Amino acid sequence: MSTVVNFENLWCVFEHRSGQLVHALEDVNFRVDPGEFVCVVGRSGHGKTTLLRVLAGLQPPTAGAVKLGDTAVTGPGSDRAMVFQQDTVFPWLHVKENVEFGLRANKLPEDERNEITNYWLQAVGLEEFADSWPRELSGGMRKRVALASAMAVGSDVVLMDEPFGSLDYFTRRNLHEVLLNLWFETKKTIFFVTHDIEEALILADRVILLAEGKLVDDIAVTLPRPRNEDVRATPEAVGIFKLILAHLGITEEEATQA
Amino acid sequence: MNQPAVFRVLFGIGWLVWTVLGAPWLLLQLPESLFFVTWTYVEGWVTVTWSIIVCWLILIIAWPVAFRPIQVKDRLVNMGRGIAAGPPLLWAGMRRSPLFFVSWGILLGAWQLGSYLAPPGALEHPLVPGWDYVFGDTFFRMSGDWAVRGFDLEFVGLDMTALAPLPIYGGEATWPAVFLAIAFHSGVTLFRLLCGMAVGMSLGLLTGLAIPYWPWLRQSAWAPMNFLRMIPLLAAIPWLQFAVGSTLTGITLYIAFGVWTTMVVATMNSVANVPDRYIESARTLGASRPRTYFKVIVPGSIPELRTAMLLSMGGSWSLAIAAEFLGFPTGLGYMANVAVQETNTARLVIVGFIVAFYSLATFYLLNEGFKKTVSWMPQRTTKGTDISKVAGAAGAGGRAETIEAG
Ligand SMILES: Nc1ncnc2c1ncn2[C@@H]1O[C@H](COP(=O)(O)OP(=O)(O)OP(=O)(O)O)[C@@H](O)[C@H]1O
Ligand SMILES: [Mg+2]
Repeated sequence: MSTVVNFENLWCVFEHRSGQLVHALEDVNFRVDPGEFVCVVGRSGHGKTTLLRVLAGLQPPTAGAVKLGDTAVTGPGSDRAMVFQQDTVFPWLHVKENVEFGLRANKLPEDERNEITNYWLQAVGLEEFADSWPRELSGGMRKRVALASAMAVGSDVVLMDEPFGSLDYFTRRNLHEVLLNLWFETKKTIFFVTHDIEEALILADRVILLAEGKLVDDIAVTLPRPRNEDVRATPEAVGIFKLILAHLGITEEEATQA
Repeated sequence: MNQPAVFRVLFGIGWLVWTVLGAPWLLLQLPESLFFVTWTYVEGWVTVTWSIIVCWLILIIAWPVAFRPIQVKDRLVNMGRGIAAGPPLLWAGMRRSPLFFVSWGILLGAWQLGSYLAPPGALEHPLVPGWDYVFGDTFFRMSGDWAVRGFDLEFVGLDMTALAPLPIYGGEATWPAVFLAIAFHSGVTLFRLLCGMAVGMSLGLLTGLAIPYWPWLRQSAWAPMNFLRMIPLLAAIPWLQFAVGSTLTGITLYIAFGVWTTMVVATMNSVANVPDRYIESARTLGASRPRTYFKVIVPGSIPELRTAMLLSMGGSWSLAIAAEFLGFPTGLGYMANVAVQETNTARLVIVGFIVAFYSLATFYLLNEGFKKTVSWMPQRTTKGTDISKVAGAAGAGGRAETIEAG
């Protein structure tokens, strides 16, 4: 059902007002099979969001292409729902209407719409706030509304740009579980941007490492699931952790100091 | 009790028709033998008396009492509560922001002082009239403006001399005439203003929302729209008189044009200012272009539209007054014109107060209406202004620092 996602010689160059060229993506090549859970890891400003935006069809690449199966991405669509890094919850719609937005746009019948909306509101733990205004929610709660809105659309490919960045430890763990359960059930392809290596190790099949716009490593994470604390303490997991740290330019000493 | 919208609309339309047509018609049918029928209706002329006005008002109120009695009762109860809460509220306001009242007091007092100090000048009336002068003799002499002009309906003429004698035709000056003059002229101005604003705002909103929908139109419309906005409208008033004459249509078109140009530009601006992230999010959720426009861009631009509408309303007040000042024999602008011709500052002050009162009232009403449509926006709490919030935050920050230091 899901299709292969192919990044082919992808370049994305921005010209800043000073005339300086910024290579947000530089010749990125990789292929993602249906149902893979891909974490994109990299330092701030190294092209993670740009990669997702090109895939979402919001940012035309300077050269190269992103292909879904055989067709190149030319614009946004509900086959690639996205959770944005910024707050994108519509302030003029109630929480429930926000989650329903994509379903209405895709013309789902009302009873189906209600069912899906309620499911996702419950999954992110906001069923009590269905009739609240977004302004009445905390930042983390709004993030969860955005997550529910994107997930409710039910696309095969889901793009998530640091979706849990502002959430507390418990909510985050809870949502990891929700997300992984969903992924097991539906075998969606998930692109998950994070700068939290721990998070990447819990979630990913594969970690794509970006540094200054270049794909510097593509690490298969073959740890057994569920990845509880014990699994993450195995030598294999620690090895991957250190490898990622090294790629990010952080030495082990710095890491242990932190 | 929540009735369907259709019912409420029908109720409103019915009430309007009843007020304008039904009730007057019924009044003219009443036999003169009834003790309260002091008016006459001869050959298409109605002699308007206080009695007919009171009866008319009673009939107007009879409509909601008959059809929505429960709401009327609730309204009355609320109004009663509001009035009862008024004095304490005023007192609380005075204690919360005494500076507001103090500065007003100082201004008024300074003006009075100025009236004693300023040289009388060579004109008939003092240049700086004291409040005794303004609200004594001058106010009373405003009865001279009591005249009803340009108010004959197609099928019936109105004779208003029965309400108060007309000083311009040699009648004596009376206090009722003062208030009738103010009521009539401000009523005329308000009506013109409403016509102009209704036309200008609705057309302006429609145009302003339509233009950005088509990118090619948006690009080509910027320059001409901004050019139209640059036209000095005050200078166009004489042209208006040659072209359309001093008619309701003329002034409506004039105000509407002024409101339209500001509204179009402001609407285009507010549409352009809707954050991209909302639009992008809608697109990735599968919304089509029209859907994104109507469900995201339009609601997202409402907060800025509010400012635009309030601004263009202020503008329409100045346009209405200016047009009346230069070319109409009725309205608040005309009253101002009379004052200027008499070189009577005191009169001008009174007209100024009246205009200020109305424009504040319309501002308040529009703002209240908006509060309901943008209930999703962060609401300002009734207590304390934004400034005091900022000041409060600064205070809290200061405290935190001292704690850290200690
Ligand atoms: N629209 C744009 N115009 C100009 N430059 C841009 C634009 N978008 C991104 N860039 C540049 O591209 C580079 C990569 O940005 P990107 O947003 O992809 O980083 P990121 O990895 O998501 O960072 P973060 O973790 O801070 O979100 C940055 O140097 C940024 O300045
Ligand atoms: Mg980013």
